[in-house]
Amino acid sequence: MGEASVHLTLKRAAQVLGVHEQTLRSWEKRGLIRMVRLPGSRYRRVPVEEVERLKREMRSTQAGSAAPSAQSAQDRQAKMRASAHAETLPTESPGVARSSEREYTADAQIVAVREPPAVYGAPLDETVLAQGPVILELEGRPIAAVISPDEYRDFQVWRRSRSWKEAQLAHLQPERVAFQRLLPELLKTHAGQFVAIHDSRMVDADTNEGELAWRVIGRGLKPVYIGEVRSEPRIYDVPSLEVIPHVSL
Amino acid sequence: MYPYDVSEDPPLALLTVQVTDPASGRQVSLPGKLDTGSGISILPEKTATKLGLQAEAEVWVAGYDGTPALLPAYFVAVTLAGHTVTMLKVTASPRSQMFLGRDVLRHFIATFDGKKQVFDLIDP
Repeated sequence: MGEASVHLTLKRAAQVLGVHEQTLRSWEKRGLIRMVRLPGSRYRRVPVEEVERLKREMRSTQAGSAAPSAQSAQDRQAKMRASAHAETLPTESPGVARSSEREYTADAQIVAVREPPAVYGAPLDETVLAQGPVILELEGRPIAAVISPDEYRDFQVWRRSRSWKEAQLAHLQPERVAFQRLLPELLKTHAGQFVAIHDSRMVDADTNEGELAWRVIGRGLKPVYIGEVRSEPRIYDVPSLEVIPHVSL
Repeated sequence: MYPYDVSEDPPLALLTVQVTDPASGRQVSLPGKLDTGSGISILPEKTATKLGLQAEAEVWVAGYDGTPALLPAYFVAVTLAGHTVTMLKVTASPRSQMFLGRDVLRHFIATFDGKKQVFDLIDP
């Protein structure tokens, strides 16, 4: 019961995390990631919640190559629950750049200058930055990056969107954890059905996802997690590629 | 019949849809692109925020490169071409238009006439 039954293959987990499969094997040896071998299979699988945890930890280190910490599962779950309760939805659309160029982030430092500055002889003007970012290195280690305002605006759009998604997923976290915990038993009793989890327990089930959602939303249950009882997560295709007409090269 | 949006190149099948949050009854109208390549419909994050939606499920999605990502999902009603699809599970993205995937299109007989740049959606 302690092991969740929604797993990714090693290859898929490596893709999601943006690391090599060998890196995951190394992390497993160091006790930084929990993997399982499914009954009747000699291949290792990675529980979905482990992949999500690692994604969060890698983001918090702000370095995709950094290894995750070996923090205890209990501490991690307690922290996740706390953050889930603390999250609030943003009141402004996070996916659209603000119109004012002076609106950066709450924690951004703004330094007003009289002329284009230079850092150790490297000019930081529009011409230089239009060609790409300027990376400051200390003893071969990158310590800062300076990018153009246009790139910064794109980055902000992306970052707001990511924060919004994380807040939405955090809202579901306690019920998702319960779903993962219940899944091995649900696979025996409700395989192929959809279940609704509220207050860490199953409150309803149906073979029709829409009808289930209609009932639990009608009962005003919040937060509620509606999940499909299956051993591997379903993966949906998302929109086709589009031609973007205006790109500054 | 509905005309293609010829302001896009190549032109695309676009029509106005109404999205309703079943819990609050709030509604938003917005343009929706028909996308037979998408297995799930996608709302703009801005619309999800405006409707006050909170995630009730999550979905793994994979784009053109096949890399999966976990996204929040919501249940909404979508009205288009005079027909309402109730309790549709959708996810959200930063894009400004809605994507109407095969989960919506399967409720219709969809006809695309690329030569004449018109399309039709009929509720059978």
